[in-house]
Amino acid sequence: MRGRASLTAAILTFGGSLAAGPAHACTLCHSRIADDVRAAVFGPGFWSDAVALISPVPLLAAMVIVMRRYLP
Amino acid sequence: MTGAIVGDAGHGPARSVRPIATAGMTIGIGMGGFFDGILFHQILQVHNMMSARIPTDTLLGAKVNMVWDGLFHAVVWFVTAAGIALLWRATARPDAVRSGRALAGSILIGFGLFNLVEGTIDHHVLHLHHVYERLGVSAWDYVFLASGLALIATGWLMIRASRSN
Repeated sequence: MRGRASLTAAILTFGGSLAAGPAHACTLCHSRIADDVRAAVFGPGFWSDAVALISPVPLLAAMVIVMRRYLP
Repeated sequence: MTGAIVGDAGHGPARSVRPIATAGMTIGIGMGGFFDGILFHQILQVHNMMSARIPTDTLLGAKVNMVWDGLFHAVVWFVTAAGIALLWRATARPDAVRSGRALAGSILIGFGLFNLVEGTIDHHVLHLHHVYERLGVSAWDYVFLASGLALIATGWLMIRASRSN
């Protein structure tokens, strides 16, 4: 019972910390800077940036297959 | 003959280094990504994932890059997990060579492949970031590529040595 109260207090403390001031910018916070971060990340360039991020993966997979074939 | 041994003249199954090498290379790619992300993006902060496109000298720019660094780490986490799964499968195969040196060598090859491919695509083709962002494309980007080649060569030699033992 006491443990549950402590857990609840901890969760409320954490949740309260998410009710952010303007300098807080955790990804899911509701502050101005957090809104700006989400707008910048998930703006019109999101998919092109995401494709750019994973673009080395297919080439790396191909390189592994080639290296595997020609291992000493 | 590359990558496989054709049995021991009838004294057991054919042994192959390929299963463990495939796992090791995949793990090496993932660990190479973590090395880059942890050392260069987070500890030294000489570049971030999108630092050539989004400057990091404002709170907003730093935060946006931090999200992209996290997505990059998520990708290399999945690559590493795939490598561990491949290693688990390799250990279950009776024909797979179990050699620590071959595993270490293949991890180095994977690490080198990461530096070579990620360095070429992200630093020189797409210009998402550069090793030392303040300089743009610099000698450090070519050192990064060269380190990839050196790691691949070292890993290759380690696997070859493991086969001769």
